[in-house]
Amino acid sequence: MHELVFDCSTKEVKVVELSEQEQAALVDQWAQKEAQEALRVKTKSIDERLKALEQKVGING
Amino acid sequence: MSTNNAINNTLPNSGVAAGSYTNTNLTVNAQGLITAASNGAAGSSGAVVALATLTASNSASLAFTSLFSATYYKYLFTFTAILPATDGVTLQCQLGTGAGPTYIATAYDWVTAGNVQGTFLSDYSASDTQADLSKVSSTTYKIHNAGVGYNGSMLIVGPNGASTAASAAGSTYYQSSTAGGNVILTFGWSQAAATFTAIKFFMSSGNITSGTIDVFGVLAG
Repeated sequence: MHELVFDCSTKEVKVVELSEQEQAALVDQWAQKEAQEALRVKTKSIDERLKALEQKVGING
Repeated sequence: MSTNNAINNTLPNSGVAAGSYTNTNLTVNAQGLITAASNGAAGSSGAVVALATLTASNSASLAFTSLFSATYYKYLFTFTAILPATDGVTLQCQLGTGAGPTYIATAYDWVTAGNVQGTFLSDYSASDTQADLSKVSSTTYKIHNAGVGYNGSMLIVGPNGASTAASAAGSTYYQSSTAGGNVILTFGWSQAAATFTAIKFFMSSGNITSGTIDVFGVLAG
């Protein structure tokens, strides 16, 4: 697994290979982001449904 | 080696100082030799200059370092056929500071909106760990890992070598994870003031299989 870096000061492309530890950290970060995103989408959906319900029954607007 | 030395011993000095020249003015004689060289003036304000290109090859991220400076006051990024390795993910980016660089992972304020298979959908965050360039709520409408990929452009204003906020806007087209579904989105984001030097693009999960990002600078006055 690698990162591609274009250094604009030298105009060179570097291939930065990730160490095993860095790869493990990145995979862990992806898993965390997926979990956070699932929670964020769920929370947003609940908020929107709550807002619609409040408007329907005449609360806050 | 001996052939090169023989040639060097035979060639007379041209009178042109050895070194590198930028925006070069050259004089070439009848034999095709350079007899004069000098640095030319930089392009005029507003001129667009191609700065960098990166093509992904199952890469975790594509980064451009030592990019932002006072030479340019806007930066145009174009995205061509960016394909993720993982289905149903989004393209994201972070700005970096310093020579390292250190990528900032707080306070990105972004919004997306667009025509998603005939339905208007939008999403936003006021304080995210990265700017999101394609997010809508459902995985179904995120970037497909086959087909045309993610295509479009983004203009960033602000990161000009001084401590300032940066903002971006763009329009993109990509095929979503639902077969046959296509999405057109616009987005914008901003970040707290800093002296930015770099930017890094990556997927919300998994590598970038393929695709190209080009960077152009708009010369400052």
